[in-house]
Amino acid sequence: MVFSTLVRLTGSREHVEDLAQEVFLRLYRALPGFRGEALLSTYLYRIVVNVAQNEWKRRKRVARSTVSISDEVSGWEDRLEHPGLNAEQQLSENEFKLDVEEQLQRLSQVERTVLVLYHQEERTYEQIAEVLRMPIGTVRTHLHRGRKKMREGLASAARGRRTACLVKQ
Amino acid sequence: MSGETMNPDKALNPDEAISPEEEFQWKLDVRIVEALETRHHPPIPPDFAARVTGQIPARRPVRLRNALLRPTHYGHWTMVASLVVLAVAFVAMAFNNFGRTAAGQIMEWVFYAQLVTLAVWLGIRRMGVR
Repeated sequence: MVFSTLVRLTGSREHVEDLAQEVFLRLYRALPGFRGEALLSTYLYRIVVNVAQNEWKRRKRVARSTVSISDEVSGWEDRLEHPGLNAEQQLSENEFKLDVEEQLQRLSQVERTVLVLYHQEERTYEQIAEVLRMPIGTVRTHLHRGRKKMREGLASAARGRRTACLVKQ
Repeated sequence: MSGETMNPDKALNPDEAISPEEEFQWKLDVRIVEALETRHHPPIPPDFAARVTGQIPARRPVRLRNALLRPTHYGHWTMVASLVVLAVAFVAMAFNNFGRTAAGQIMEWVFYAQLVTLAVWLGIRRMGVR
């Protein structure tokens, strides 16, 4: 959970081991003060989000472009193979998923976190609200806005591709 | 086109008339949700646990502290011994008519007070009342 959430939130496999190590060390240090007011999973998600946020801030300072989560070692695209699709459809599906990841990284920190926790981690609104310490209504708003921005970004990316194809022809 | 977003978690109602643009948006939403729900499985290095454990600071040894804090009950047995000694002292005073003098009477009362105090204190400890 920790590794997969960090990869999604940071958009990169770079330094994910160091980040995961930081998460577990913070959890270890915080455990003596843990009184069981929330679920341990909520506590852990909170630490993951905080570590991811620190990583975003660090990258902003360094001003490096994010490395794609698609790399030769992981074979990430291969694991997403749809058995029912042919090669062209598979390529199109993979391209779409890469576009989704790119649009996800363009969202604000909060919107990205809400989308990842809701869709990938399958947390409820209440759980997300508890992790991020915000009202449930605000969580819904960020989810709605995040989805809307992604839809608009993907639609314009698709339009751009179609225009480029027409120009080539 | 309406400003409302169609819910990608709900299937399209075939009886509901929607425009091609709305259908496109709905299908796009479904694909987006599918892509977001796809989990990444980054490889976890086999030595990751050892690496994290290696970063945890070593704890100080607690053997000396445990030895110092081990209960010995020396105070309890000292109190019991004191009660026995006081009881013997009372018997000896009774046989020797010790209470006839003023000093003797004062000593008797002091011993009574000590005996009662010890007995009450031991009784309270046995009941576990602090």
